[in-house]
Amino acid sequence: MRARALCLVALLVAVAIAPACSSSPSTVVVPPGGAGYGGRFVYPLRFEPLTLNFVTLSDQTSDYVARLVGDGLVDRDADLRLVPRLAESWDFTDGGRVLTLHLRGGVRFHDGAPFTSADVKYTYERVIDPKSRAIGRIDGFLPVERVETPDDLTVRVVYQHPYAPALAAWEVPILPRHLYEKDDFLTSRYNRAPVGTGPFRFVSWETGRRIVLASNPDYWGGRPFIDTFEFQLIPSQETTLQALLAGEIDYASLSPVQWKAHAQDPAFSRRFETVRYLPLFFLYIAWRGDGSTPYFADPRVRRAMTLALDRDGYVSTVLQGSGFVPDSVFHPAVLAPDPALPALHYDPVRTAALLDEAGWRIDPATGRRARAGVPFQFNLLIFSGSEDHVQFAQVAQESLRRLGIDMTIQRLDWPTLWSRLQKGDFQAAVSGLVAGVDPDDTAYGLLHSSQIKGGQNYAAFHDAQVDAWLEAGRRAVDPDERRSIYRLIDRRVAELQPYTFLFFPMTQAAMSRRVRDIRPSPRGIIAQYPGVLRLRVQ
Amino acid sequence: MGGEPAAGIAGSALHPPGRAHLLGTDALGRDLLARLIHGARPSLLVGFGATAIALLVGFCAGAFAGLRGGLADLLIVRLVDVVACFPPLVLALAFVAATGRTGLWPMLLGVALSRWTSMARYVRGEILRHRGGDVWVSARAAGAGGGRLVLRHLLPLLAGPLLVMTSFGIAGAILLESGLSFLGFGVDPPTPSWGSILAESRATLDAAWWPVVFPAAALVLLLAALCAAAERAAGSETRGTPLV
Amino acid sequence: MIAFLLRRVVSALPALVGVTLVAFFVLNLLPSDPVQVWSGGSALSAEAAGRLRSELGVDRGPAARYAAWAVALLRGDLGHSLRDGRPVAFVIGDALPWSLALNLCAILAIYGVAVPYGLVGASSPGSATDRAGGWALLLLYAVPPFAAALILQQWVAVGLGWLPLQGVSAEGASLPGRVWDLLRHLALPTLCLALSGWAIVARYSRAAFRSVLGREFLSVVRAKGLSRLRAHLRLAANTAVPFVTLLATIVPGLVGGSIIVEQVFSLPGVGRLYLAAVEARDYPVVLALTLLSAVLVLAGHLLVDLLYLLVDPRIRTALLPERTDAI
Repeated sequence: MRARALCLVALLVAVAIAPACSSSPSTVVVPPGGAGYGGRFVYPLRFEPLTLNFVTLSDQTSDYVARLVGDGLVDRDADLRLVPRLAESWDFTDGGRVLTLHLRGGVRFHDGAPFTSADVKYTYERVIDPKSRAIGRIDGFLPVERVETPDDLTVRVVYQHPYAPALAAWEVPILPRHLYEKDDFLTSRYNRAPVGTGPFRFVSWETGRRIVLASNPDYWGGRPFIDTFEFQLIPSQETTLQALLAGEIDYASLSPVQWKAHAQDPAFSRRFETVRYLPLFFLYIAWRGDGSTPYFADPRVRRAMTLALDRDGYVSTVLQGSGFVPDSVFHPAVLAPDPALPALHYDPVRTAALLDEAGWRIDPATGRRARAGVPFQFNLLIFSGSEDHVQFAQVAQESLRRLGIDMTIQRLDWPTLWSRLQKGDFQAAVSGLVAGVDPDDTAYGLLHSSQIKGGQNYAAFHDAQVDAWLEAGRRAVDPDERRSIYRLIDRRVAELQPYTFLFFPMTQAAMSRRVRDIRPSPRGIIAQYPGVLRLRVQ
Repeated sequence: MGGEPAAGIAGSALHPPGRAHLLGTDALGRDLLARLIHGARPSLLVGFGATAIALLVGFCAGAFAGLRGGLADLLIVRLVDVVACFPPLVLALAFVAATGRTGLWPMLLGVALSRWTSMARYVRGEILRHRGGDVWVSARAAGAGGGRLVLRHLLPLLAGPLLVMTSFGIAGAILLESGLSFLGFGVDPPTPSWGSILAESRATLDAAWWPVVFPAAALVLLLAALCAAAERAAGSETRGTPLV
Repeated sequence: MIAFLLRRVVSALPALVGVTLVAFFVLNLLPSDPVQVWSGGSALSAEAAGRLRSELGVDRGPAARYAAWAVALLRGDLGHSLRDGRPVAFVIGDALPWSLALNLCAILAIYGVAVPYGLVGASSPGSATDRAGGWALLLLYAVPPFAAALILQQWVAVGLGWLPLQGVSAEGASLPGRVWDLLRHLALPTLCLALSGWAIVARYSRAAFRSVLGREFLSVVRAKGLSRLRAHLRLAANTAVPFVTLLATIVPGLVGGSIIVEQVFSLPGVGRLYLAAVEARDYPVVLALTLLSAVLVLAGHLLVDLLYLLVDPRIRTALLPERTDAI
């Protein structure tokens, strides 16, 4: 017993000493701040980043850190408008085929080295290098023919064809070439201790616990108001709320029920301010329409499915109204809603009529729908980790049951669900997608026939007309022309319904009233510019 | 009875316990009492089913190893060693994931898979212990073969401890099921299990206590009853039987 | 003694190999593969997916990959995590101290409560204390750990504000301060882990003490002229055997036993790592953790054998050949 106690003490001591050695916040020199400067902002993360390499990262968590430590050439403001960042200005020539970016002068990386066009070119090269596996970034650079650097502050990007969404890809934070060139790109130590030109310097990453950033006093855009930005890893949603209540974090997004429970409480609203926004994330059901099931190859059946699901009812009751039901592929902030687009509201009568028309009639003997002896029974795959998937599926199951359709639900973990989506080994599946700020980003992946194999067109949707429009949308440089192209796509998709777009769940967050001067964009409070740079803590 | 457990969007989500809903409703407005009653089936099925399989497999493997000895013993002992090296939750979880489908059966088997080894170990150990003992020698002298020896003479000796192990095994299996549900690997909706009701309602814990407290209380009562029954049935002299 | 040890270690090797084989092939059976996981669910176009696939070169079969892994292991190289590219030893090294600290605290808490209860219960079997204690421990055993965790968080950490809610840290001006900080953070998770352990260890210790007390062992050795102190020491040595056995069954829990508690309390431990690695099909990490778990289990068995040797003279004389009931 005594030996065990000794072991414990030794271990406790070892653990107690360890953090003192690993982090070294004292090395960051912060000049005495003026009015409104100082303070710490703590933001919860559910998932740990895998890498902080600006190029190879592929998850939202690491993207947040990268946007604070690094700078892209361009960014989006709180209203998703394009704003300059490391590029002061840009212009398109040669009918939209050549993009010339004029870089900001006098910018330095956190280690003091100057930022030049060579760093931009290096970042581009790392993205397209297959060895980097930069899957989250590569799509926007695939149409690039070459990148030229006529001088230190000019970058000329030549595309294979006029490419309208070109600037979206240049949000990638720029890597310090001089540091990365020295060792292996994938195992470089800067992947866990990134160096950029951004408003915050990296301080420490304590695995599984937190990532600490300190303000960059020499930032070209002016020093941020807060001194410390800390990400705390809290894997459980329930614990996140409790941590907010305990004052351990400054911001937490709440589930609708959590929200309902606390919004009425005056003590809660005295301490916390409401932050609401409609994020770019939406849920949809993909109906596998390639004929592998007898049901969903017929657009009438797919439209009937959409009409059978009470999306508005789900949003108003289960989500307590905090969500948006689209009939379009696009987030309202990405493409202004089309007033002429027909809405597909819940309508069991029209559903029944459409199903009858498609041959799926109620068998009087069983009360279930069937066609030529084949009963209408299918399996819906959902992701077991999402409350929205689980709850919506149960509601859908009940609605369909009343219409004479038997749907079973199968819960899968993410890799399994994904692998079955990719193989097309499913009949119907709920999935979610974070839309890009450019309409092409969402629509091309979901709808273009080239994306059926290996891409995101899980419904196996194949329509020559939509393919042609999608390609035209990529090349059209005129914004009005683009908008009308995407509206055409929307109408065609509403008619054919390869997917049912379920809803955009509204993010409702509570933020400590100590925090001022931040407004969420559809990408949240961090992924915008200047955003956090202007955030103040009292 | 408060209607079907899988009713659609009802108007009264998170209704506190009252006359209309004796135990209140959950976040989708479903009657909690109805869900608890329907949820008893999968929970008990996993608890009893998995333990029955674990007991059967464990007993046979243990008895076979203990009686045969030699290579068979060595192989079974090694297999038990290998399986027991995996943490139970990870083993059950990997099994459920590997079958590529969720539902009652994969879970039942996954839970059984992670629980048969302790049974096998115990039975084998007991056989080795009794080997050469009075019961053994006299039965052998009366011409009893291996199988008969185990079933007629050894089983009664082991019945008490095995009963205790089984009861605690059932409790452990139900807890494992609820843990799997908590991590998102539970039974498929809308089938409720007590574990999955608990897991689903943790999100609403600070809005509503009833969807957490009632299934938890049901679990605690069931498990306590099982344990108490085992204690009583087996008598206090078996209080040293291994539980895990 | 040395020969015995050696033989035990060698006989454990097939089990170790078996464990890694099983882990590897189960992982390969799981739908999906690391390539798909790599993109983390980000919008991946057909072009990008194709490029990634050819670059990663996952065309090698599972057998070849296992062989490569095993060969590297023999050179002491556990490989690199597929998720973040760090050496597996680093990945596990980051998580292990927290899990060890948590589980050692839990073991101390379990034994600290259960053994005294066992002694009290055994010295007055059937008394009100014995029965009430037994019932209380049974009820606690039946509380699912995650439910206990959620309730404790809300009640003790947020409601009363006595203890930190989540996370772990060991910070402070002085060393005792850091240990204190660490202990405060570990208090609630330890309690959750201890809930289910108490009933088990209490049963064990009660039975063990009873068997000793019941045999009037004490009075006999006292009659033989041993001092009270020495008699109690003898008693302790005799009751140590089942505790040692029990400890060996608890040790494997160090790796996988605290997954849920680590998840709820945001502890960066091995359990959470295990779960994340299985979900991501990060087989180098899963294999290494499985190997660690297996080594702990087998080392636990070996430890039991050794302690039996030290504690029980009957076994010492009957040592050879290999103890047959030692599985």
